This record gives sequence, structure tokens and C-alpha cells, in this order.
Amino acid sequence: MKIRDLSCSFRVSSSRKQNSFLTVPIFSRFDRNFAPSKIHSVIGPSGCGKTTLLYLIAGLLSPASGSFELSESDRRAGTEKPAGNNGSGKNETGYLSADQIPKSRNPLTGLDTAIILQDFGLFPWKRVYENIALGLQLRKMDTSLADRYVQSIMTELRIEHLKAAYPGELSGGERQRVAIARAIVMRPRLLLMDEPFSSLDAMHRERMQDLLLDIHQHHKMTVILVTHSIGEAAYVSDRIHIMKKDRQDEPAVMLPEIEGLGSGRKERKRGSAELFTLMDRMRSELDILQDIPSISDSSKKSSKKLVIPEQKKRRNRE
Amino acid sequence: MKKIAVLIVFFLWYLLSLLLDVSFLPQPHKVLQHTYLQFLYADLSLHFFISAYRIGIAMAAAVLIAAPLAILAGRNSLADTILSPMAQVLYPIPKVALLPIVMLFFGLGDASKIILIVLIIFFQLFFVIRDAAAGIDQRYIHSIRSLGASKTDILVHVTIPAALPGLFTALRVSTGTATAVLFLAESFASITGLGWYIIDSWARLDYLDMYAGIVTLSILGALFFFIFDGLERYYCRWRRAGTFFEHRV
Repeated sequence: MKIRDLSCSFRVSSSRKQNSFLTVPIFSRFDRNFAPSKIHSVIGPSGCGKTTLLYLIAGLLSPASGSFELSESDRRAGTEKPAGNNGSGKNETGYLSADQIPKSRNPLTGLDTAIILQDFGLFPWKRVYENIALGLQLRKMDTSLADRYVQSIMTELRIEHLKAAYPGELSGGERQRVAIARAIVMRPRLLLMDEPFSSLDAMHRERMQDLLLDIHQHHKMTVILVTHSIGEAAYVSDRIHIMKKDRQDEPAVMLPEIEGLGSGRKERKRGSAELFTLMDRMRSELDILQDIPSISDSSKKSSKKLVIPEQKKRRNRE
Repeated sequence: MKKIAVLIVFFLWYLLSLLLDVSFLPQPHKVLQHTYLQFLYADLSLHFFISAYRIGIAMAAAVLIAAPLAILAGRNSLADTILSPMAQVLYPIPKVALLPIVMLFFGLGDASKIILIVLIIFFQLFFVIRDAAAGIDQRYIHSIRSLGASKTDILVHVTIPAALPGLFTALRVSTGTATAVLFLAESFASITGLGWYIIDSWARLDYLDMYAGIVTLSILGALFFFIFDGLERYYCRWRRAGTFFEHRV
């Protein structure tokens, strides 16, 4: 996944003068590569443009300029045949041959992306099955084939028993699974996640992080996960991209990527020294950016001191 | 609780009719018996069905006109700037006062009665549905657009289901208004419908007939209320699903 020359800004109506607008740049000639088949975390304080970046890639916002490219090496979810399969069409877990893949391009961008929104965005008036099948239905996929797809995804995420339930009847974790199923069923090359676990309690959050790693292990699509949790970014990702926007009238900056703990590792330990070292490194990187003298000197009045919520909590604890 | 409410009403009615002992307040059981007999063996049922037909057509027409306009105004700012000010200006006009004009234009038949009801119900539906459509949470729009939805898809899968609860609420509230307007419209220059039946028996001093007409008109209003209630229960059953999920739409 490559981002080339991305520029985007918001017009905000000024609070002082009526009918005057303030242009707030978010990205200016922004370039970034996201290595294929990896989990990438984009982390940064609120308001730095993380979610904007995802919405731009998903086509929910349109940039002033710039392009997004997905390459063939960004593998489509669910096309990798699992070990032990002799490769003849579909097997018991519902893997399908290449010609059975839906045309999953997002008509907004022409990219094979799927997005999981912060609050899941499930439709309360549709049953779980209808929620998951909606994307395929909208792309006019053959009903029986779509049904097989949906069934296999529901089996994989262990939500078959919730098929006829409405989202209102589900717990937070279950709704999260349904939201993931709805995205994966489109077989995207790129899965975008906007703080997907932020509304869950700590225990569910950890379970869902592990589930994400399992799904990624299985499907091997490229994932871009936006989060403001240092721990989450360090734990789930192959690459960590720290994003920062120090002043309102300057575009966001992204630091060179950091190696995460790795999504492919067999033994992933939450309490490992490695994880804590990594988290400390991220913390210091976030701090360094805040303390660039030229910025903080010249804009004492307008710049707000930004503190990562998790960092704040940790400081209070210590 | 509904049964208790009915019992209390009947108890008070008995009490009042026994205390006052006047010919124009007969006891409930006599009224009910008379209504039953009139409905089965006289022409009360005919007038009931004529009135039901007028209300039914009027409600359906009001929905078919108001819902598309309201959804358009709720989802499109250009349409809103044209439609909503017009609706706001026309809404306070007491449209029952237009009865003579409507009758001059559309005659004394069903059309004028139906049109008068539509004129009034339209506004009750329009504002509620417009607000429901305008208040749809942006996350649902983002969510369906990210799945590759066209404008028609958004309408079918998001806007209409999200606006339906508002539509049914407005319809239930409108049944009272619709029956009241029907009564007025039927009591002028008409020889059919429950409104005429009530006024005619009143003029003939046949109070049992008059009460039978009033009871039947009440039943008609209640019938429509429960039909919309049932439709809401069926089409919006997701609203009763679960307790901890916030239904912001």
C-alpha cells in the first residue's frame, strides 16, 4: 500500500468572525509506504489526523491531491490456501478459487479496501447475517455464493449462533466480531480499522487483539490499525507509525516506522520485557516530537500541550 | 392495565348516567347492545366501512406524499431550504377552516373529505419524518458508503429503516386528528359516514343511535391506532432487541 503526494485540509469556520473560514492543513505532500501483508499501527494523539488518513484511504473523504496504490503483493484476504489443502477449489473452511472472488473494489476509490469504524457501524435494523451479507449484496454477488461466503466467515469467527440476532442483542465483543466479519467477507487486500477496540473493556480488548492476530495469520491481508493505545500498537503490529500534529496550522508529520512485536510470532507475551521496552521507546518518541524547541517556542500561545491518555494514566500511577 | 382503564371508564359512565338519569346519557350496556344490533342488522356497518375507507385512503395518500418529500428535505439541504420554509408557513393555517373551499373545488363526495384529511395529516407526518431522516447518525452513512453503496442503496438500507419508527409514531398520533377531521367533514352536506350518522341521529333525538355512532367512530380510531402499532412492532422489531445498545438513529 503506497500513499503518494497526499494533500488534504479542512475548512473550519472561525469562532471570532462570522463567515470567515480557517484552513487547517492535515496532510501536505504526504508520502508513505505500508509493507504488504503486515499489520501497521498508526498511533498519535487525538486530532492529529489518524482517522482522517483512514477515511481518505477508504474513500469516505476525498483528498485535494494524492493517490493510493495497492499492489499485487497486498494479498487479498482469504485467498491463501491453508496448509493441508490440496488446492482443488473450496475446502471445508470455505476457501474459494480465484474466479469465485467477488469484485470487492470499493467504487469510491477503486481499491480493495474494507473499513471497520470506531463504533462498528452495524445497522441495528438488520440481523447479524444481513449485516455481514450487505456488502456482497450491494455488489450484486450471486446469492448462493454470497451465502457460502457469509457462512464460512461466521464459522471462522464463531458467530454462527448469532445469525438471526439483532446487533442490539449482542455484547460489545460479539458486535466487534460481527463488524470484523462484515469487513473480511469482502475479501479486502487492505483492512482499515479505526480504533476498533476502544469501546471494549480491558479483557475483551485483549481477546480481540489476539483474534485480530489469528485472523491476520489466516488471511494475510495488509492491515492499517489506528489506535491511541501505545500498548495495543506495540502488541499487535509489525510496524508502528507514529503520527503527530503539533500546531493547528501545520500538517501532520509521521515519524520513521518502528518495528513492532510482530504479528507472526507464535509466542506473544503480554508481560514480556521486549514489549515494555518497545512501549517505552514509543513513549519517548512521542515526547521528543512534542519538545522540538522551534515549535514550542514560536507557538506558546496557540499550541496545546498534547498528552496521550494512556501515558497520562501511567504517569499518574507512577 | 388497559382492561382496568376500560373498567374505570365504564364505571364512571354508569355512575354518571344513574345519577343524572337523563335521556341523552343512556347506560353503557344499553349503548353497547344497541351498537351491536345496529351494526349487524341495520346500516351502521355500511357507514363504518365508508368512514374506514375514507380514513384509510387519506392516511395512505398522506404517507405517499409526505414521506418522499420529508426524506428528500431531511437528506438534501437544497430541498430542505425550499420545502421546509413552505411547510412552516402553511402549517399554522387552520386547515379545517378550508372545508368550504375544498368542497367547492372537489365536490361533496369522498374526494373533498379525503383531501381535507390529507392536508392536515401531511404536516404532522412531514416534520417528524424530516427530522428523523436528518438526524440519522453519520456513522451509518459512512458504514454503508464504505461497503460501496449507491444513493439508492443508502435510501433503502439506511434512510428508510432509520426513518420508519418516526413514521409510525407520527401515524399513530395522526389517527386522532384524522378521525376528528373526518367527523367534521362528514357532518356537512353528506348522507354517508359515521359523522353524518352521529349528527343525523342527534337531530332526530335518537340518542341510542347517536351513542352507537360515537362508539363506532371511537372503535374506528382505535382500530387504525392498533394497526399502526402492529406495523411498528413488526417492521421495527429491532428496536425492542436488547437493552444495552443505544439506538441513536
